[in-house]
This record gives sequence, structure tokens and C-alpha cells, in this order.
Amino acid sequence: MRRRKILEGAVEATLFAAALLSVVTVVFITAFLFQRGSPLFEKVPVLEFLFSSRWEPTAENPGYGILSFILGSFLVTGLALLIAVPAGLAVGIYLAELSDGRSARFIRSAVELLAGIPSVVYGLFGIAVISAVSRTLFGGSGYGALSAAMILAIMTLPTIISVTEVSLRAIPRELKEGSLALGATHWQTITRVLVPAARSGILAGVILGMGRAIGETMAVLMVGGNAPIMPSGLNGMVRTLTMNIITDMSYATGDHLTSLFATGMVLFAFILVLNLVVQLALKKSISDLEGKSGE
Amino acid sequence: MNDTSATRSVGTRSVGTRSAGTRHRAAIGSQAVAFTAIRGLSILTIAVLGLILGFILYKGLRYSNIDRSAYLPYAEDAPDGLVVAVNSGRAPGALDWGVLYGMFTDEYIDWAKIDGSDDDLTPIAIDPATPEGARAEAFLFGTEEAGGYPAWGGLVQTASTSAAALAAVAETPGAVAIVPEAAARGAPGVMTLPLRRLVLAVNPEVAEFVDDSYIEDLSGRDVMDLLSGRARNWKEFGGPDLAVAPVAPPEGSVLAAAVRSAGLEYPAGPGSPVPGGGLEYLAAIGGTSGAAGLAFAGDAAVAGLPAAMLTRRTSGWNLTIGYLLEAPRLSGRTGGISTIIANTFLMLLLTVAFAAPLGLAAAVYFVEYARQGPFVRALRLGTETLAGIPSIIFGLFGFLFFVNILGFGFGLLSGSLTLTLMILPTIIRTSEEALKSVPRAMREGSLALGATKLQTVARVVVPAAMPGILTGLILAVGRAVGETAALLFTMGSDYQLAKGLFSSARGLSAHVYLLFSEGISFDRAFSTAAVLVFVVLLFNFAAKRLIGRMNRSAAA
Amino acid sequence: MKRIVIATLALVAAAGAYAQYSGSYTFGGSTTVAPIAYAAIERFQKENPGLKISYEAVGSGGGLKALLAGQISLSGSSADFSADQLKGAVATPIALDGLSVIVNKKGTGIKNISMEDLARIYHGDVTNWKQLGGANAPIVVVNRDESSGTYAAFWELVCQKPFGKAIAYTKNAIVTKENGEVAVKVLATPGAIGYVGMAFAQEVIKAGGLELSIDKVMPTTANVVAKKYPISRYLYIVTKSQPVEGTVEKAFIDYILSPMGQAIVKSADYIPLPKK
Repeated sequence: MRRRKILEGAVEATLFAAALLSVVTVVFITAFLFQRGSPLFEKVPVLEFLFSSRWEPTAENPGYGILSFILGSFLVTGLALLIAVPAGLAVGIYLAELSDGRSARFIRSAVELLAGIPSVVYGLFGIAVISAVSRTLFGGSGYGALSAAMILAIMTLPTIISVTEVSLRAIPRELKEGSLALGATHWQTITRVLVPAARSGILAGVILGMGRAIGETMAVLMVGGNAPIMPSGLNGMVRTLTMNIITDMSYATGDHLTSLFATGMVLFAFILVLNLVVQLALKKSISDLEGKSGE
Repeated sequence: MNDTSATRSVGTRSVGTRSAGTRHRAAIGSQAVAFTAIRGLSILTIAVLGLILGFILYKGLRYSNIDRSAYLPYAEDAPDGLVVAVNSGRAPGALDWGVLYGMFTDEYIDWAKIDGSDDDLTPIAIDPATPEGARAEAFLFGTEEAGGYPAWGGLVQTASTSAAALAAVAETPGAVAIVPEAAARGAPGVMTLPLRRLVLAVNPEVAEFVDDSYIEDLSGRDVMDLLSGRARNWKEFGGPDLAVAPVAPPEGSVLAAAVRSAGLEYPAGPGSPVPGGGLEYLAAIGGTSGAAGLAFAGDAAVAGLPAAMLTRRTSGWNLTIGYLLEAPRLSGRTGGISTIIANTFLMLLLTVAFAAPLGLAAAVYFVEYARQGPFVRALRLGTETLAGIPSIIFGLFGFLFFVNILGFGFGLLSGSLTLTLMILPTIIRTSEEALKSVPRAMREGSLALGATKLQTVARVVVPAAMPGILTGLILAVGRAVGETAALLFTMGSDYQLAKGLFSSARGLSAHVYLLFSEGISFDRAFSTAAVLVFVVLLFNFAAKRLIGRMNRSAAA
Repeated sequence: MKRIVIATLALVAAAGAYAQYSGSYTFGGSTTVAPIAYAAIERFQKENPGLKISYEAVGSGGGLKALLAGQISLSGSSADFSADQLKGAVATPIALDGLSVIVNKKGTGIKNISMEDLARIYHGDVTNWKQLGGANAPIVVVNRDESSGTYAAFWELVCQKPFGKAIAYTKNAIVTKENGEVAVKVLATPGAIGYVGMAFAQEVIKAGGLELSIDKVMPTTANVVAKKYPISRYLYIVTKSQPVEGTVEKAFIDYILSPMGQAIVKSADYIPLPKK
């Protein structure tokens, strides 16, 4: 009996350790990035690092400003969402409200499939098709923010579509039926009742997609142009935070290497903030729904 | 609450106003417009997504390229009475003149770039002091009279007679020799390869830097137009403003015979045949402004005449069984992707071996043991956070921690451990869902029968949740297989089969990237990408089947 | 031509077995050297079946860094590192390479370029092909990343004379991570110009790109050997210290310098070392 108790305790401890692993990893990653990245700020003021666009890490008088990459990341992500959100909302609404079961199942599995396609394959597609399309339609070299954004839009679409659909379906039936019973048309019900009710869920999905887009590396690396300059417009060349890390990582030494870890810290910080917002938004949407069903 | 007030306002507006009917009709009308727009946008989006998938798979399966080559597609079996003899075990197929020349001048060390096979190239020359050897030497390098000089490569081996050369060819899989046709006929263990050597030689002026223009690549039709006089000026082909002067080979020459048997209609028109031997013919092309005429590649090269590039559209299967089964060579330039596929599965196996027990254990803790509280909330938050971290950050961490600090170096182990951390949150989350879906009654029943908590969890709950756990695992692995950024820093890029945990290894996704970035081949990148997508599809399909079975058994 | 009697063929093959090496080794470095390294490693392994070598193509700079950090034991380099950068490591030349300047046929309209104009393009002073008598189209400059030995060599050989020693390429350029990526992007982009090792230029020409002559000299093997073609450099293998007899690294270097190794160099479209 006692042996059994010890065994049970040991097992519980093991399970606990496994559950702890994720947190430990997050703490480790944070600690490592900080330990390797922060020494840069002894030489380069944080403000200069964040708000200068002079990136010349191997020059005699090196410059470590990543403003262009921060703006690049946001430009590309913003453009991508501009394309993906309306399209994703439309498909999500279509799936939840307008489609019949068979076509919905078909579309859903197609979308799931696309969510699974590796980013390097999307990058290859970008080189072969998107950059040429962007060049023909909008001029420029074809390697720039617009091409990168188009790829990212395609990559974030599945997330936004499925979250929109799920959020819409999660709304209690009474709400929709009530609206219809009061004489509102189906469309009015969707725009004034269902979408507002699913708002925070959809928002969480969009932010989730945004996090994916900011963190994406391979696909944007292949079509972004990667010039370390301020993006000069929509089809100007762009380097994002992730591209900056992967481009220089293999050879950087000394302060240059430190500056890459510092770039990682900034990226990580953005992701953490987005994650927190998602958690809060989701919590709100859940409590909204709970509140509603309680009415 | 906002949402209910929205409902209310809809109601009051549509019911309580004077012209409710008109309004309603207008609303119905705008609804039709909106629905059409939504449908249209959805169909467009889905169509675009479908096209992308179709494009990737199609490009992976089929290639269609414009091939550039100086050689006309006609091949001679026994040029000048000589044959190219190779071991009978080789794949048949015509050789370009340039390749044959390269074989004997150290341009090639093996057959990889020629026919994709693994064999070393062993060029064998017959001693040039003998008459047959001298004939082959003149064939390959041009006669002294024409200005040719023998430029034998250092790897070339010498045989005393054609019989000795043929015997060596029969013995050596990768050997090649140029021997008289008569000697090769009936030689055991030897086969001959036909040779393509007809090119369109042009006057150097045509290809020179005149007004910074150049001849665009010509199609087979263009060649006919040039030779028959239908094309009048080189400008038509993007060249300089020069009249085209077609020149025909001397009647009765080997070249004329070759042109005839190639079925090329040589015009009687403006370019009358040059009398005399081949040298005069080549001199005529070299000396006439705007001249063009068919010639043997070797002769044209010795005479210093440039050859026009010809284009031909070729297409065929990109993804073949051979591509899947052969080992890659030269970073994937030749060969297939067998070792890459094997590396990928080794990586996934290792990752699953680490991630599955860890993920399941964490999930069991969360569902069966954890008491709600701030501490467990923090654990959950940690898991959620881990799920959102971009792969490049994992790459940095894996590079620092596994590769450098723990000293595992670039290899399978570092890569798999990094992947494990990446897919852990997914596995935890899906396993949790599966465990939660096990009915309470089962747990209570087990406990009531006197089983301990551990026994209940291990023998009742986990087995019942197994299909769900497996589904999550398969989905997570499906994601891991496509990961690239994190693995470039941790797993290395060796295209050979990994020989151990610390062995650098290249997976499918990294191979796709490197085939593109090393500029090796777009076609190969796409066919590898197609394999990768198929693998992802396979995992998705397997997960779907599992979910289907679960639902069925749940219903039953 | 070697006068070897055919009967000795089998012996030649067996002669590779004089000293057998085994174990696992990681090499790495320049992407320009990679094609030579891949081919040489494959053959070297064939002769030493117990041996497994991998080559991680991370760029000359990345290779040197990994070598000095002890992550790899031999590194390929297309950069002529200074003693300062080498920190005691030893560079052995293994081949010659001409740098080819490649352009897309569309939107460029030139076949020849002068060294000065080339330098001005990469410094950012010339931005439209019209300024050089070509098409009226913007120049799309394709450059390498800073890890590349080719990146440093190109500045040194082309831009240093007019613009000084400190590298100051135009920043308005597509940055690529490998020679091959330069080729892909130049081929896909009208108005694009890039520079690659000679080996990669062959692929570009085959795919419909154009190799420019520099001051009317084409980058051919003969022109590079005769020093007529101005943009050429040595390729190196770097070891952490003087290579020691009996080590795999030393044997590998010897192998590349052997007639077979130099044939591999040639088969990879580079130029064997001139015979002394």
C-alpha cells in the first residue's frame, strides 16, 4: 500500500514536471534572448536600436538600428491583414450562414489543407507566381512588401476563416432566431447581430493571424527583397525582423550577433503582447457567450 | 449589453416605422446584393486557394521548360564512320557533341551530369600514333590542317588498339571510347550512342557586339526561315541590321549528306552550295557578312564560328518513382530524394518519441491532477505562449541551447528537440480535449471497482482517449514536417542519410529551400514540394479518418 | 594524356585504398565552394566507405566563424581573408574562379559593361539602364548577403578602386543568401543585374539569362587564366591550423589538389589551379 502511494506520488510528480516543461521553455527562451541580446544596450542605446534605421553592423562605425525592420514587419503584416480579413470574413460568414452542408464540408477541408502547406512551399509559389503578378500589376521589381503581403495573406486566411466560422457558430441560436422573428432580414441579422456578437472571437482570430504573419520567415524571405532599408512604398523592398535574423545569423559575431538576439527580443516582445491580447479577447468572448446563454 | 441592444434596434426600426413594407423590400434587396457579394468573394477566395494548391501539385508533377541548345535535334549513329562506344549496361540516348568533347577534356568526371547515373567516367582513347587513333583524334579535335589541336584531358586513358578499347569498355560500366564503326559492330558488351552535332554556324559579326543587340534564341522554324531565305534580315531575330546570307554545304560532302538525312530542306535559293571541301565552306561563313549555314559543331568551333542557340519546348513527368527512390547527388542536382525522405521520417520519429510522452503527461496532469488556481493558470498561459512563438525564435533558441550549450551540434537530435518544443503545445491541447471527452462515469466506475487513480488514468481514461490523442499527434506532426526556419539553424543540411543522432541531416522542407536558393533547379524544388504536400495531405487524411472512426464509435 | 595501360585500370581503382579514413566530420562554408565540396566529398567517401562528411553551405564568413568556434573542422572560402580575420587559421588555395556579371535579357539592353559603370551600379550612382545606353528601365540590383565571400571579393575587385576600401554597396538592392538565389532572381526579374561565380553563370545562360563581358572581355577560363578578365579570385579551404598529416582534413585537401580533385574542380565549372 505504501509502495503504491509512493508510485502514485512519483507519477504525479513526473506528470507535473511534463506540464511544467512548457513554462520552463518559455522562461528559458526569454532568459536566453535577454542574456544574449541585452549586452548590446551597453553600447547602443535602446532608443537608437529601436528608432534608428541605420543598419550597418559590419561597417567600421557600425550602426544597429532596426526601425526599418520593425516598420517592415508591420507594413507587411498590415497589408496582409488588409487582404486577408475581408476575404476571411466573407468565407467564414459564407460557411457559417449561407452554405449548405456539402459545399461547406468541401470548402472546410480545402481550407484545412491550405493551413497545412509549409511556408517554404508558399515561398516557392511566391517566387514562381506572386512576384511576377505583383510586378505586372503594380510595377517594381516584384520583390517587396506587396508580394510578401500577398503570400502572408494567403497563409493567414485559413486561420481567419476557421475562427470566424467557429465564432459565428458558437453564438446561441436564440439570438439569431430572435432577430429574425423581429422581422430583420438574414443579412441584417448577420451584420447587426451575429458579427457583433462574434466580434471578440473574430478579433482573436485576426490577432492570431497577425502573430503568425509577424513571425513568418521563409516565405517572406523568398519574396521580400531583403534590402536593409526603409520600405519605400507598397512595392518597395522590405526586410522584416525575422528576415534580419535569418540573413545574418550564420556568420555574425560579436556585437553583430548580439544585435540579432536583440532583434529576436523585439520580435518576441511583439508576439508576447499579441498573445496576451488574444488571451484577453478570447476570455472576453467566452464570458460574453456565457453571459448570453445565461440570459 | 451591446449585442442585445443591437438586436433591439433592428427590431424597433423594421417594425415600428411607417413605411415598413418599403423598407423591408429595400432590406431584402440589399440582402440579395450583400449575399451575392459574399458568395462571390468566397468563391473567388476559394478559387484562388484552389488554384494555388493545383499549381503547386501540377508543377510538382509535370515540367514544361524551354530548352536551349546549339544542337539540332538530329542524331547520327555513325558520324564519319566512327561510333561512340559505351558499356552495354548504360541507358541509351543521344549525346551532344559538346558532351562528347567534354568527356575527353576533363569536363566530366562521372556520368551524373550526363545521364544522372552514379558511374565514374572513364574516357578511353586509342593511341593516336595508330591510324584508328589518329582518326578519332582528328574527329574530336579537328585536323591540323583545319587549325585543330589535340587537347586530351588528364583523366583519359589509352588503349593500344580499338579491340583493346572495346574490351575495356565492355568491362568498365562508365567507360567511353571513339572507335571505327566496323570494329564496334558485334563487339560483346558494348553499345553505341548516337551523336547530335549539327549546329547553325553564323558569321561572328552576327553574334558580335553590334549596337548592343543579340540574336534571340531561335526556334526550329526560324532556322528553316534563315536557311531558305524567307528571313531577310537578322533584325527580325533581334540581331544587328544585316542581310541574312544563307550558305549551303558543298554537294557530296559528309555534311551535305548529314543535312539531307536529317531531313532539313536546304534551299536551292540564295545560298548556292560552296564548291570544294569543308574548309572552304566554313571560310565562306566566316568571310561573308550575315552568313549562316549548318555545320558540325566541332568544325565550327575549330573555325571560330559561333553557333546560334536554338530553343525547344520540352515537357514531361517531373515527379517520377525514380526521383523518390534514388539518393541525391551534388546537393540534389542529380539523383532523387530517397535519403531526404528517410531523414524526414527519422526526424519525425524522434520528435514523436520526445513530444508524445511529454505532451500526454502534461495533458494528463492538467485534466486529472491539477487543481484550479493561479499556478495552474500560469502553466496554461505558458503553454499558450509557447504555441505563439515564431519558429525563427525556436531556431535561435535551439541553436544556442541544443547546438552550442549542450554541444549536440547540427544534427537530428538538435533538430528534433527543437521541433519537440514547437509542437508540444498542440499535443497538450488536443490530448486535453481528448481526455476531457472521456465520460465521467467511466472514471467513477473504475474508481468504484477499487482501482487507484493512477490505474484509472492509465488503464481506462488514456486508452479511451487514445484516438483523440493520436489525431492531435498526427496533426502536430503534419505541421512539424513543413518546418524550415527553425531547422536550418539546428539540424544542418547534409543530403546524405543521417548515420546517428548527431548526424547533420536535411529534411524535405529544407531541401525545397536549398534547391531554390542554391539555384539547382526550380523543377526539382517543385517536385520535392509536391512530395512534401503529399506527406502533409497524408497526415491530414489519417487524422480525418481517425476522427471519423471516433465519431462513429461515439455514436454507436 | 596519361599513358596508362588498360590492364591497370582495376589497380588504379584499388590504389585509393592506401589509407582508409572513417568517422563523422562536419565541414562548411562558402556557397561558391559548395559545388566543389559536394562532388569531392561524395568521391572521397566512396574511397573511404567508413567516412561521413557533411558540408554546411553557410557562406564564407559563416564558415570561418564556425571553424574558429570549433563547430566544423574545415571551411570553404571564396574570400581572401586577412590574417586578422583568420586568427591563426590557414587558407589553402584550391581553385580559381571568375565572377560573372549576369543580367536579365529584358529591360537591360546591354551586352558589355565597363568596370567603372559596374562599380557605379553597385555603389548606387547609376539607377537606370538608359544612363549606360541600354533600355529605359530601372536597374534592379541583386546583391549577396554580407556572409558571402563573393560579396567581399566583388567589392574589392570592382568597386574598391573608385569608391575606397570600406564596403558601401547601394542598400537599394535585393539581398540574397546564395549564388543560386542571385541566378533565380536575375532570371525572373526584368532589368536585373547580379554577380555569381562562373559555375553558376552556365546555368543562367542555359535558362536564358545573359552573361556580360567586362570591357569587352568575356569571362572564359582562358581569359581568367591569362588575367585578361579582370574579376577573378582564388577559392580556398581554411583549416584551424596548419593541416596535419594523417588527419582527414589534410587528406581531403590533398585530394582536392590531386589531379582527380582538380578534375572535380573543372567538372564543377571552376578553373583548376595553374600548374607551377
